[in-house]
Amino acid sequence: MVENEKKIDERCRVHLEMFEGPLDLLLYLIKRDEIDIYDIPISHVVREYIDYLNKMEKLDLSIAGEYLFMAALLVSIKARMLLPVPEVDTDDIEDPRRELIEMLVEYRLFKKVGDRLSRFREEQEYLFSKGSYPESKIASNFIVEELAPIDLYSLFRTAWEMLRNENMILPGFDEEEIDVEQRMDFIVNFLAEKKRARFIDLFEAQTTAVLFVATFIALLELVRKKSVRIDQSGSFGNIWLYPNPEEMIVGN
Amino acid sequence: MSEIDKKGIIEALIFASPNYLSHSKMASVASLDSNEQVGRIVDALNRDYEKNGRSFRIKPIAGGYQFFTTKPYAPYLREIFSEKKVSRLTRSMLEVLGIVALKQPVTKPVIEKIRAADSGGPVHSLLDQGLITIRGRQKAPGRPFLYGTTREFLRFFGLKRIEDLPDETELAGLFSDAGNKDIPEMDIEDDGEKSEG
Repeated sequence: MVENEKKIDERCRVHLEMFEGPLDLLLYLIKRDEIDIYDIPISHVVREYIDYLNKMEKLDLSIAGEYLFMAALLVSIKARMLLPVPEVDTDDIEDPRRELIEMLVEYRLFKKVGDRLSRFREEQEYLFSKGSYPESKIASNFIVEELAPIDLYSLFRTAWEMLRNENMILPGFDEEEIDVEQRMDFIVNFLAEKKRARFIDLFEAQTTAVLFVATFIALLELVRKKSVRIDQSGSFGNIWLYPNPEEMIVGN
Repeated sequence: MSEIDKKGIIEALIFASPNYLSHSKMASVASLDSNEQVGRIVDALNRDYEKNGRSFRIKPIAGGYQFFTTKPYAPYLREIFSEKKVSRLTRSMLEVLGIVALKQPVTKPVIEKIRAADSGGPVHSLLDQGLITIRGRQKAPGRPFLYGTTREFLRFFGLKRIEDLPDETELAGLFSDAGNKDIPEMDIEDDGEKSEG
């Protein structure tokens, strides 16, 4: 069933791939119909927008949500524009389209910046720096040398995805309570015995998400206490854990 | 010390340094009066290379300088350095990058509000590629992550600094829709001068 959902998802994506979101679609319509972005004929745009949505068969739900939200916004603007305008102090009355215009103009700016980035990159691909090194090498050293937030993030993500790919993550919770200190003891004993282990070895055939997180935190704590050393062989290599011999005694 | 010696020092520093050197460091080593002088010397060096038909130039990148080969030599270099693979970013990734670059530090909800579209996918891909990084958390309900661009981002796109990203016509476009000119390409002869004080 999940498989099936995925298929539908993929197919709808093909239809919607042209547009990055509802604002992108609106900008397309504005450009196509040569509309002044600061004076949008709202009835026309609502009609075209909804017409476009109708043409796209079977929308991917999450994408459809964003597109429908925009449709609702457009309709509400149209409704507000139909309301009779009180004759006093017309300057004070806000154009119901203002928010939409601001959104479109801001989005259009970032779309342009994105286009420019793409051109910069194309240009950069023609240039070779002195002693050009493969780009991936830079990233791999990060993880080992310094645990900045991003590195921690990639470490966690790598570990998690590794386990998930191997179908090692069980749904639900553990029956017994799991605490981090207990996992720390486990890791220390495990490494004392094995001398070297992969992160994945710390788990038996399968694990729950809770046990995974507790083990991960335990590992970080041990690294902080310098009881365990983490090393990675190459950018996408295994993450190896080693006991730190001088600090092996974790009494208290 | 004469100007020519200083030119040599700057050239040697940029040539020999495996990492990016800051203007101030180079200025102090070559005992220059100001950091801006580094840029002028680099311009002079590039003019020399051009005059002599050399295959490389010094390019300001990621806050420092680096030697790069010029474009006509790319086909020959690609024969050997095949690892310089052409990596394309998706349009959603480029949009998110643009937002992060100009609005950093910025949270995912803000990015998603600007794009009016879910942005979790592109944010994660960009984190994986090391083009953006987590800068911290916002002191707000849910403590969302704050994202910013990395030095690798500048290097990847060959940018001197973030400020080079938008141009004035575009920023002005935020307030008026006056016809904007074509965006000038950034080329290797791009000077190291600051346009305003």
